[in-house]
Order: sequence, then structure tokens, then C-alpha cells
Amino acid sequence: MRRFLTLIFLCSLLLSLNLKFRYADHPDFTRFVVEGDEEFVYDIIRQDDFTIDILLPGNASWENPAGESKLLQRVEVNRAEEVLEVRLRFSKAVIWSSFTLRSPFRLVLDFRPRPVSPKIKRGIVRTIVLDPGHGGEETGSIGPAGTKEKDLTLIIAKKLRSILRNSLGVRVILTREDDVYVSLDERTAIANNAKADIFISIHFNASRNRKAKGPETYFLSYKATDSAARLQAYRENMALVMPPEDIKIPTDVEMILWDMAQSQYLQQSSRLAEFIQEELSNLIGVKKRGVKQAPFKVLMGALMPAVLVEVDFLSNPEEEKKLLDPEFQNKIAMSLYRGIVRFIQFYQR
Amino acid sequence: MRESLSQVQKRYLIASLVLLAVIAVVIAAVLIFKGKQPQEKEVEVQVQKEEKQEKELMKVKLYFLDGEENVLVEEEKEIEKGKNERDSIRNLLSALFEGPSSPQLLSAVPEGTHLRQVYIIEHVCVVDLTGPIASMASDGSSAELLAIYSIVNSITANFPDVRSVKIILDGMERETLFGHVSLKDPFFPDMSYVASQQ
Repeated sequence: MRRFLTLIFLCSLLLSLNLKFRYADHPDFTRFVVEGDEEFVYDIIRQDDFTIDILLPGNASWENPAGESKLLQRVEVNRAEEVLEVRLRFSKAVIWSSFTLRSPFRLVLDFRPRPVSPKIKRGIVRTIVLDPGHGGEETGSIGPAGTKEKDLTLIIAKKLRSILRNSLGVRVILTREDDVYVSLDERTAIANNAKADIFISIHFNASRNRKAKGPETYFLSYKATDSAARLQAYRENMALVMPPEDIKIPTDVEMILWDMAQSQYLQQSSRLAEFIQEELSNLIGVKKRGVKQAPFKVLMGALMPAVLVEVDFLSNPEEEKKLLDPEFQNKIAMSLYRGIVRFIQFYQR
Repeated sequence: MRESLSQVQKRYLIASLVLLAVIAVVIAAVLIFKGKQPQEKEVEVQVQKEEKQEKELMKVKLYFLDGEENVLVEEEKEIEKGKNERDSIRNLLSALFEGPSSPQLLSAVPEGTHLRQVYIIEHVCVVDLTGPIASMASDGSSAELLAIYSIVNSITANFPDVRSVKIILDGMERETLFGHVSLKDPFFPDMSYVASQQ
């Protein structure tokens, strides 16, 4: 048996893996593909911001890399003992994401220039995107008296927009103007496309506990962002128990946003959450313990400080009554406004 | 002739009797010697079976929703220990979905939630759920987070080998549970949703 295994091992060395490398620029990223005539193991190592190494099996033979790219300046292939090392050198600092495809087996790496200067520029907040939660067939939570979350979020967003426009003279964009369905990805994309400086998703909360009351302000959790690689490993493992067509392989864009985008703004996002939470707590009168972190889908891809505000519990009958009062709605909008102003002032200092 | 024949017969008879006796002794010895061991084994097997029929119980911590504060609280329950970790987790989730014993507590997941399947892949526990939890398109963030962490914390608190829990619905990956929180990555336990014990 052992002899047999040794034989197989030797054969596998002799019938070595053949690899092809190719790369090209796409509008949004540069793609580097390693194609093998059979499945292979690999590792990706960041040497520095400009240099990424791909480690491949040392027994592989390869063809010279083919492609053209502005971002990817040089590809060097070296065999070092048992490892084939492909060194990629870029003209700019890059971030990467990877995934694999089958038949033939391919390792795909997408590189993008690292977004520059994640901090908001001093004193410059030009555009704010407000996201009225839910809409269309997606009603959100419904109060005991029948109030729909999607209606309240739109009312508050519109009120807040007019205050911001009149008082700060900033550009304010809503992710929806009417009672329509907008996907979570689209909402984030609207903010990114508008190059917004602040993104606020407005919601009303619900709990199975009808007594629950008070505001909660969320920013994205660090923990959830901790490893795109593990996610990929998990997905490959899932293929063992689920038919592959049921597993959604994340697109390169999803992966990179998950890995990088909002994680750069977490500090500012937490600050924004604190200011808004404080202002809302003063209005609604519940203890401060309300800034929380969770992997909210709508915040993940946001390329700016971003928070999700749960103004109050619509599932609480008393709160629902208050929330229907236009005067109270104005106060909510004013509290959100004050939170935003404090955030802007904090970064102006 | 007859006598000589009968003498020959007698000799044969004696010889074959002796031979038979020897064979019988050998067979008896073998049977007695070997027969003892299987009997002992059978006894052992019976003891094991009896133990299994008694059903081993294990004490677990489950996380339910508090009736006053909007937080999760711990309740201890006894569940049947499965024949492996996966089975035990299945029993734990059935107990969790049955709801709390204490009238002061509420279930953090919608009534009627059912478990379809549990997989353990390395240290990730994948739970496949069905019922109202899978068909409710939208609800509040708080309802969503407390349902998720009631499941995640209950599993990870009792099975230290499980580091994170991935939730899928009706056998499929879903973007969110109730419209807010991404289900894409497995969840690690988060005790910030649990009431601090005083």
C-alpha cells in the first residue's frame, strides 16, 4: 500500500501540473487568472502594497504570462525549491479579492487601486445620502395599529432632507422618493455613485417583546469583516454538502467590498453613530446603551462613514402613537440633524 | 471366519470409539473455551444497549428573549444527548424552538420555526431552517438580531468546538433574515445581546 502511494506520488510529480497565466484590465479592476489543467493548491501573500505573491505547486510547468495592463506592471515567475512563486508588481497600491472556478480549474484574482484618503476631508461635507428603509412590497415592520415602517422612514427622510438643505446648504439625495422597492445593494450603490460624504439608513425597530422602546444606532461590526479568505474556504467546503448550483459564489465586487470598503470608515462611522444616538436618546428618553455593531448588509459596501438608525420601536403600541404625530416626527428629524452637525463639527476642528 | 471378522470389527470399533472420544473431547474443549468469550461479549453488548435505552441527558444553556428588557437571557434545560455532536445540536435547537419554560421569557425566534438540517464543516455549524422564520420577508432589526443570536449563542455556548454558525433558509443561502443583517458570513457568538448577570 505504501509503495503504491509512493508510486502515485512519483507519477504525480512526473505528470506535472501545467499552468497558464493571463491578465487584462477591466473598467473597474485588473484581473489575473491562473489556469491549471488540474486542480491545484495556492496561497496569496501580500509583500507590500505594490507587490502580491501567488504561491503555486513547485512541480508545475508554466507558459509565459500573457496580457497587458496599466495597473499590473510586471509578472515574475520563479521556482524556489518546492514552490512556484509568481510575483505581481503594481504601479499603484492595490487591494485584491480572489475566487476559483472549475473545468478548467482557475484561480482568479482581481486587483483594484486602494481607495485614497479614507478620511473625510477637513470641513467638507458636500453630499449626504439618506436611505429611507424598506419600500414597495417590502413593508418593513408593522405597528400594532397598522403603521408601516416604510411610510415612516420616508416621512423622516424627507423632513431631514429639507432641514439639511436649508441649514447646511449641502446636497441631499434620497435612495427612494416614493413607495418603491429598492434592493440593499442599490441603496449603497446610490451613495457610492453620488460620492456621498455621509450615508444614513433610517429605520424603525420591532421586537417580539412589545415593551421594547428607544433608539438604537448601528455601524458595521469589525468581527464580521475579519476574513474573506475564510469565507472562500467555507464556500468551497459547502460544495461538499450542497449542490454547487445552490451556492452563490460571491462576485468579485461583493468580495472586495466586504473585505475592504466600509472597514476603512469604521472609526468615523462609530463617531457618527454616537452623536446620533445621543441626540435621539435625549428626545425619546431611554438610556444611552444604544450604539451597536452588526453586519448590516446595506452598510457593507459603503465607501463613506455610514450608520443605520433604528429611531424607535414601532412594535411598542405607545411609541407607535407618538411616532404618528407630525410634531414628534419633526423632533426626530431635528435630532438626526443635530447628530450630523456635531459629526461635521467634530471633523472640522 | 465370522469370529475373525468380528474380531476385526471389534478392533475397528474400539479404534473408532477411541478416535471419536478424542475428537469429542477436543471439540468439547474448543467449544467450552471459545464459547465462554462470546458469552461475555454478549453480556457487554447488552449492558451497552441498556445504557443507550436510558438516554443520556445533558444540561444546556439556551438564550431566550426577556419579557421586560429587550435582551436575551439564559435558561438552563436538559436535552437528550445525541449519538454525536450533530445530533445533540439538533436536539438543542428543537428545545430552543419549543420556547422557554419560564413564563417571564419569550421565544426570540418566530413560533413554528423548524430545523431542516445541521451540518458541521470544520468549526462552522450550518443550520438550515424553515417555517415562519424563512418566510417572513421583513421585520425589525432588533427582532432579526435577537433571533440570530439566540440561535448562535445557544449553539456556541454548549458546543465549544463550534466557533461560528451559518444560517441558511429552506436549503438556500439568503441575503438577510428579515431585511437587514447579512447572512453571508457565519456568525460568531456575541454576548452583547445577552443581559449582564447581576
